[in-house]
Amino acid sequence: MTDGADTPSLVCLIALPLAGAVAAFLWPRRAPAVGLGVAGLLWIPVLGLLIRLVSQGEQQYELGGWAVPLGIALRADGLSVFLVLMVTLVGGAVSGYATGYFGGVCWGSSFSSLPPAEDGEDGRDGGQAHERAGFWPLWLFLWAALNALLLSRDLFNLYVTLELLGLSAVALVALADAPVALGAAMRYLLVSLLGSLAFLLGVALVYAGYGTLDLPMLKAALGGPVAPVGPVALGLMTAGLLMKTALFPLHFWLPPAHANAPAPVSALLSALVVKASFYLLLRLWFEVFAGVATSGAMRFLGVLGAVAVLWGSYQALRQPRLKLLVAYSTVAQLGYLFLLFPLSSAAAGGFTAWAGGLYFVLAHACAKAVMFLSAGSLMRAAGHDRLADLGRRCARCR
Amino acid sequence: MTATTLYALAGIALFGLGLHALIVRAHLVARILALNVMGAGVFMFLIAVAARNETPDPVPHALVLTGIVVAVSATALALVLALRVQAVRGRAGLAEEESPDA
Repeated sequence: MTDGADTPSLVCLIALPLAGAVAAFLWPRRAPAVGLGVAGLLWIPVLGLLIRLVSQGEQQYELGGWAVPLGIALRADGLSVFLVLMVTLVGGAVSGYATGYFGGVCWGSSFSSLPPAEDGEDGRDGGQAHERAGFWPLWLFLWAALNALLLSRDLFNLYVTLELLGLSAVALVALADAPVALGAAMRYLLVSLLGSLAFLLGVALVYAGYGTLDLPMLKAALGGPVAPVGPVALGLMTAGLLMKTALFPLHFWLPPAHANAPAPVSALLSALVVKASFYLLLRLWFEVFAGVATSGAMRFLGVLGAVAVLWGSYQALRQPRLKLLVAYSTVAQLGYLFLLFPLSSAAAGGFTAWAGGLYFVLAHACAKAVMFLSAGSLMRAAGHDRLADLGRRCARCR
Repeated sequence: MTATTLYALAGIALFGLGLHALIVRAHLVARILALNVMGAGVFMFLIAVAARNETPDPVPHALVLTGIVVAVSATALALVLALRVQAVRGRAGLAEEESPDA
């Protein structure tokens, strides 16, 4: 299975954004060019990986040449590559938007002729340069963490990538240096760290019980009779990941964090970051712990998802601000994703549920990114995002 | 009860103590410390796992070392953010005043 020729794709997917992040930090004035360059160059390993996956099946690379029980392997199967493609697509589009957004130019013809934002509610007036300097390195770090998370198959490695993802996401939210945004970022950080620690305790229990952290080996070890440590470990890891995926009732941190960040950051967080922990849940529940997960637990996740759909939609309708409305809609859409759990265990429609669920992940990533980017442009044009006044203001700027 | 089991249970108890403090304390520094206590609990559990056999298992040691690095970076970011929150809001706490439409 190991093939020397696939080294470049798997490693480049992680190394390229990482190198870009360092370059963007060192040369802030070149940062947008670096970001766009990375976004474009990443298509080469992504497409290479896709071709190889279709022709040869699952790809694996052993880091440093050490075989699995001792070393850590990167693996790419259909699910990983699908999500890597999604990240490359949405990430590229958001990078393009960000060059304009942070450069002070708005997409659209007449925006630049408008007077500057009048209410300092979002503290955007003086924060432009600050946001621009911080955005590119942090976003490229986030990108590297996302790709690493999607390609790792080692529980502890996954914990480290989750932590990297959480830290860069929090720093991106804190770029909007307003009181509300800082409070939201702090809350996001506390929730994210709590989630990671619950996941880590689960990982420790897995190692105590089964003596391995490699997912395929763990799957084989779990094949026998289920020891009590299995469900407890899965429960802890799931609790941590649900917190990061913001499933109702653990969604409280998401709307303020997503709504108060700069527009490209909101788009990235809603479209990609919450999907990463959802992907891990899928990986754990359906692949590794398939023998441990009971249908009752799957139904429980489905019920939480259904409540999230109703509650998130209801809250979205009540919001006075556009970005909060979009953020609550993310809570609702994440609920739909969790309907996948009970549906896919139904004997008849398992495959259909999977296909539908993954299509929904892609659709939500594209739609929600565009929603937040459009909301950001509207907010720039109008100077605020209060729904009651937006119509009047935008009628004037035609 | 062997010493290893005791260490493992103490690790779990530390995790619980930290979780309790994270929920009930309001001051941000106390909450960040609570997260650190939780992390220390997990590390202690891992060290107990490593000491189960006659020859110590090196894998949990490596995990703890990496975990400490991650915890230090996370704590650094959290403290900087807490300082910034205090500078902007006048106090280091997240009250429930954070109504989304603030």
